[in-house]
Amino acid sequence: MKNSDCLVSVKNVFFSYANKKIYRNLSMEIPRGKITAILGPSGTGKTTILRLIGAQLTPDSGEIEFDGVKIHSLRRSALYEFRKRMSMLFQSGALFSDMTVFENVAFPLEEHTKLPEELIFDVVMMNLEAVGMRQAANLYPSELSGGMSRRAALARSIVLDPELIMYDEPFVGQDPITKGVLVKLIADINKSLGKTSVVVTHDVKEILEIADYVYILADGNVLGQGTPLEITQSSNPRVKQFIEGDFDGPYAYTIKGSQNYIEDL
Amino acid sequence: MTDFIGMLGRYALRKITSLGRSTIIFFNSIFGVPNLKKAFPLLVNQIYFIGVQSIIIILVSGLFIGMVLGLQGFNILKNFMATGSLGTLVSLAIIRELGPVVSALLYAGRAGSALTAEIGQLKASEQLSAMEMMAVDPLKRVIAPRFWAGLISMPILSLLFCLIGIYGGKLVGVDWLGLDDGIYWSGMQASVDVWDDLIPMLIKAVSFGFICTWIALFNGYDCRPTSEGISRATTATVVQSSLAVLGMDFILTALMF
Repeated sequence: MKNSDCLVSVKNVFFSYANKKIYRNLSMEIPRGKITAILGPSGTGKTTILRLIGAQLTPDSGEIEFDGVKIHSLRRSALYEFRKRMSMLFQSGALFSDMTVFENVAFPLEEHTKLPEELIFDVVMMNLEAVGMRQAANLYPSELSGGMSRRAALARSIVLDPELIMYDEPFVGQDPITKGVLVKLIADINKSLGKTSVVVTHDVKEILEIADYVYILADGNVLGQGTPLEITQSSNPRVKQFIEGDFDGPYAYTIKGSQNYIEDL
Repeated sequence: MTDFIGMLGRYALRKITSLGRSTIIFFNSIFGVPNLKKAFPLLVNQIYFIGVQSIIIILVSGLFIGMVLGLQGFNILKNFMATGSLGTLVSLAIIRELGPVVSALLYAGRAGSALTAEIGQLKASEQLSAMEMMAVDPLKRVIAPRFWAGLISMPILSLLFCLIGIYGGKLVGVDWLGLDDGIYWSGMQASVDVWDDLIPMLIKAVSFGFICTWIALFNGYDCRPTSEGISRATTATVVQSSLAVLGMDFILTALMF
């Protein structure tokens, strides 16, 4: 991939958390203007990669570049400037609990722009309309269902028109209809606004429908990568097991280190 | 033996790391250039939450402590035929020690624990992370207004405590036990000095406000983002703040009086 085609590059990253090695020499590239899916078994550090890209965590070694800039070597003020170009949809939605949906979506605009109140109102309402939440503008997060929270958070994450949107498990705990709505919203935002999207998820079927490129992470590294077609046709038994959700395969469902069952008993 | 030394070393390292992290957070939140137009309403909100909502507990406690001091002081001074010194006793005891110390302890219990729990909850529900990812620095948006509000509120709360405490002493000594009104107030007027008593009291109150608010905010910001983590952090805030206030009170008293 040419440098200009790639918005985020992760280069030879090693990362440990609480004495556990999460990544060992991880390298990946996020193409500009595309939807990149990051899949993998639980506990492989899929969310961690989003936090590393957002510089909320710092790798032990290796580099992460955002639009050619090493994001972890920036000063605090410069880092915050850079973060205006990215946003993240958290698994929980992470809406501010003491603000209404409207105030939540207006928050980034009020913090970073000098737009008049009337314009902020219009922009917020347009964003809420885009995610089908205009009627819930005056509700508090505690009054929303999981799917509504996720959609309100999505409206908030696109309101500043960021170049990169990172989605952390957007479909988890959603009913099939809401899941479908979210899949469509992510695809629409990507296509109509030309954003770069990174989606971390377990929902293989849904994400393969809309992703342009897929990474499968396992054991601290990239297990497989390619277009959805290449991934579904992969001959790698571990990739196949994950994509097809097989119980039986090279991946054991037990956690490593628990082999001495008899001794433990 | 080596295990024990290793454990001590790890404990010391953890504490030093925590102190370093706390200092970095402190400098980033306090010395960042604030946007006054945005920061002022946040500061007013926090002064209301931290200061105004603590007034009732401060006033009630101050009144009772002043009343107890008036009663005990009157009964003791009566043995020495010195009840005329009740005004001096109550006012100096409250202004020099009880006012700033007890209001700081009450502040730590009421506002400090609430601050830790609030920040901890914001962290656990990823609201602080969300703010970071929206390029809004939580240290400036969340921590700094609370810190300054604590620093501003604490001396005012201490002053209110002193006022109502001295009035409580008067209620018991004068209105109940029959000491002359003029003797009570003139005793206080003659013995309380602005530079020797009131300014040191305010210095103590500001110092306690600083230490209690900082401990509360750091514990909240640094807590484990779980229910248990928030609960531990809240307890730690009350314990650490109380000990810090009492220890610092001794040092300040030794230096100023």
